[in-house]
Amino acid sequence: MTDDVGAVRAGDREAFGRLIDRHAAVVYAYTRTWVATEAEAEEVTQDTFAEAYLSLSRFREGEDFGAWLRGICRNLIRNRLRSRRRGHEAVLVEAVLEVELPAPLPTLPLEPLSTCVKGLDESSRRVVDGFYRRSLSLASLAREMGKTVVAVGTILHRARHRLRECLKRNGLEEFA
Amino acid sequence: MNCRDFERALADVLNGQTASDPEAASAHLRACPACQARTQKVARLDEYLRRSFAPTPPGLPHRIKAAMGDLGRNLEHAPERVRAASHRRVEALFARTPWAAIRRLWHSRSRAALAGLAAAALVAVTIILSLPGTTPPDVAEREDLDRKIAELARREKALREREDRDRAQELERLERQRKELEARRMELQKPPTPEPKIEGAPPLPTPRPEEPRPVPPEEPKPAPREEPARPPAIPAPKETLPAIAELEDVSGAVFVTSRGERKPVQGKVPLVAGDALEIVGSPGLATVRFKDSTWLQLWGDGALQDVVDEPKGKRLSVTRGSVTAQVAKQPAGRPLVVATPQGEARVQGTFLRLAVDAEPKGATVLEVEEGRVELKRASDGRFLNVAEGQFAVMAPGIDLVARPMVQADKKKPREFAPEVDPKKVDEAVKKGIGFLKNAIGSGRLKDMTGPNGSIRMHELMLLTFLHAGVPETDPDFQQLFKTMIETELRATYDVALQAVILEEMHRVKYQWRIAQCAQFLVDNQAKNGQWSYGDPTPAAKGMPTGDARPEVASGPARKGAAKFDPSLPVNQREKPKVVKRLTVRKTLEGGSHGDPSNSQYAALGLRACHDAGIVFPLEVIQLAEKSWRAGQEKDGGWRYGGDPGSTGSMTAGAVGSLTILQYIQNRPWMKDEAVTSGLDWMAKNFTVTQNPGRRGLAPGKTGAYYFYYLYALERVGEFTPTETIGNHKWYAEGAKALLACQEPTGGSWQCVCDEGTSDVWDTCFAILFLRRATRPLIDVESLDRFKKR
Repeated sequence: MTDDVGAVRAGDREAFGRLIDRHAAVVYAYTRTWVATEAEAEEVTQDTFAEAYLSLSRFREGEDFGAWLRGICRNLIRNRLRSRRRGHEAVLVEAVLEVELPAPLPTLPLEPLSTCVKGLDESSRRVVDGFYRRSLSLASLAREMGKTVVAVGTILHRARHRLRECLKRNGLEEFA
Repeated sequence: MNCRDFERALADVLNGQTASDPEAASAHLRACPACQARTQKVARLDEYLRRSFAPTPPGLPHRIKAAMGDLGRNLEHAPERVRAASHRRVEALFARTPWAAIRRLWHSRSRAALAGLAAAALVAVTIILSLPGTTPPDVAEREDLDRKIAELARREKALREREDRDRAQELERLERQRKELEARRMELQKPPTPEPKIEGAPPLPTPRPEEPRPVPPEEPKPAPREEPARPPAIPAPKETLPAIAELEDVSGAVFVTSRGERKPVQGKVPLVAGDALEIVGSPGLATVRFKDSTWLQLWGDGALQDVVDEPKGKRLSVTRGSVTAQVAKQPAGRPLVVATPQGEARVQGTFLRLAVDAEPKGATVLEVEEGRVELKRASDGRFLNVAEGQFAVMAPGIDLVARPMVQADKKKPREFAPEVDPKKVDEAVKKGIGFLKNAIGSGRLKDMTGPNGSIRMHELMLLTFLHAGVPETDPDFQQLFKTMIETELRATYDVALQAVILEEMHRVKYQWRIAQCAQFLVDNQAKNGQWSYGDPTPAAKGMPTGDARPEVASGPARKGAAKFDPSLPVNQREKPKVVKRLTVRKTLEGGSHGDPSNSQYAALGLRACHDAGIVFPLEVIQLAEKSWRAGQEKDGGWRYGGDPGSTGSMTAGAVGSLTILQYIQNRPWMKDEAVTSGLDWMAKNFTVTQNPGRRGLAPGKTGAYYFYYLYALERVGEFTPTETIGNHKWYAEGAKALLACQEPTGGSWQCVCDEGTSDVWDTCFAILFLRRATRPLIDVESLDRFKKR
């Protein structure tokens, strides 16, 4: 991984392309949690790599490149929230970003998740699918399901709770 | 706030909602270690779910790279966005209170940056001091208002998306606020001398009644008796800045920045004064159409900004990329001005191409097909007239002169291989054509149906006729052509070959039909990226025909341009330049999978469409490429479903298809491992007397699809391009074998195998091989200097 960083520093720009290939999906998924739309998430992802390229000299040998990227990405998200949301809305997200773990989540197996999702009730599954996989907003999900936004929010919240419990049971320590 | 309330607030944040009391929640979080730990877990879970479920937008890494400029070249020349990203940091600092910014910088140990900042501040102060009160107050206010308006519009939009419960009230409040500000802004906009108030859009220089106006529908005018004394109602936001142009034919990652808000666009969008347009990555395309039928097409990785259509004239800046434009006659003295970093082009009415480098030290290249264009170089203010048929370059160190466009050298008839006697080939082809014409005469056209009854032989025969030199005036040719172009597009093989034929015949004249073929191919792509036999698509039927697209149908009629000469053999004609690029997007989901035979013909069709200026969704090309890669066997070859192992016909087809798909994406295919390992397989198993690997092979038999294989082999030879595969001269050996196995009296070719096959198909394939019918991939490109940059 860091070999590519070394290669970029030595002038091999193709190597940076490889870094993009390797990390884009992770950065994007992380970003998508904190910004409202897919387009915005994509923009932040692009900026993260641009920023990373420009400040590559500050990346220290032996550091985790993923974690380093995540730091940059987090800063960009924070700046964006500050400039866009103005004031009180952004504070909570900022506070959450502050306490969050610095390193990206390691790649985890998918089987426990599919087991746990299968164990959810029908409407929870629909909400999880709509919110995470189809990237819908709560409002459009609510419209689709003929429920109120608050109701859908509650279902999603509970579903997350249940998934976490179930994943713990299935041996994923990260969520314990 | 307790932990329970906090949990609720956190859920709101993750749900993309606004928490009810964010301040209290964040205070609680900072103070409560238990909640901190829980937040970490919950955030991790969210990340896990996103990563497992949320699809990464297709082509994201590609777009990132495109946004960062060509990494293989100079990042110093990277597009604005990259530089903007670094500037934004500084901007963000300025946006906060200066002390907080300085403190943060201090803590982040960027003391050097701080010193720099201090120096910059000093310079800024000096400049401000040295300008005695130059900033007129209303300029500052205007800027301030613009900022506020953009901010309010953004919040409105965000609210509209969120659809909260109190959304209606909040929306109303914001809208009211914005309208007040906009009214104030309009007052500042007014020139000092009062002008008669214009309602709606400004008058058009040459209105075209048949063209639908892209302006949003007008509000019903209030009846005159209703409160005549009232000031005119504040127009709705979009009408305060009337649409001056429309964006159409959009493909790829296209972004419009309108009043400080950047958003991706699809379909038709009205543009207002000052809008900017950016295409991130290639291929991408967007067409700006003004109201007087003037259009500009930006493609590839390009950007233009500051589009205006004022009484002074139309104006816009192309900051990078390539532009083709057809400019309607502009009012005298008010030319359309296209500014570039190197200068500007003033256009009175013409057809031109323009290629622009982003950096001022780069170049602007202008080609004038029709009319006259005046260039003004930014570095020294020099002017130059560029007339019809000329081109000029604005770049440092290059003389600003107009030169005639160099015509491509007329192609000499190619010598195929010294070992093969061209006379014998001509004779064999002539006999083969005789056989095909007999087949038409004896009514065999009707019998030529494929497995699902929908494939006809018209297209393959027509392509053969074209390459065998059968004139287009020939009655058989005309009969086949009429059937082809007048009937519905039904099957993948036919449609793909039809695109190839039309592209060869006249890619500008028939571009409308080629676009329909492209639509068919795009809509019939299966979910795994392959093609099957195909079904008609309503979208292709609904597309404009030649009569409805005059600007497409009539190519540039530049004086002195190389004449399109239909009497020349089809692969020696100079191709007419593409006038306007057209886009297609996917409107139908194809089946779950297809097969490698239909898919290789689909790739041939895609290539023809691409050369005719059709722009596909990148996903289609990428998915097709992916499916070929997935289908490669361990030994480097490819096979059809029922085959026991790799076969020559499928491997050659796959290699040809991959080179096409790489070519469309502007990537070198010779380094592609799938291509090289496929070529290795072909070299190892090379033979021109059988279809290698095909089941049921026995001594003296060719195996089924032998001639089909030879045509695929020919394509590989031309595409890669190479005269030898392994140490075999593919053409010399293949032609020798074909000359030896032609049926001596009737003139046909036919497989010697157990499976039923058609001598008509096989004769066509044999002739296409003998004539080396495939155009090398670089060949067409080199005629079009702007296509590849």
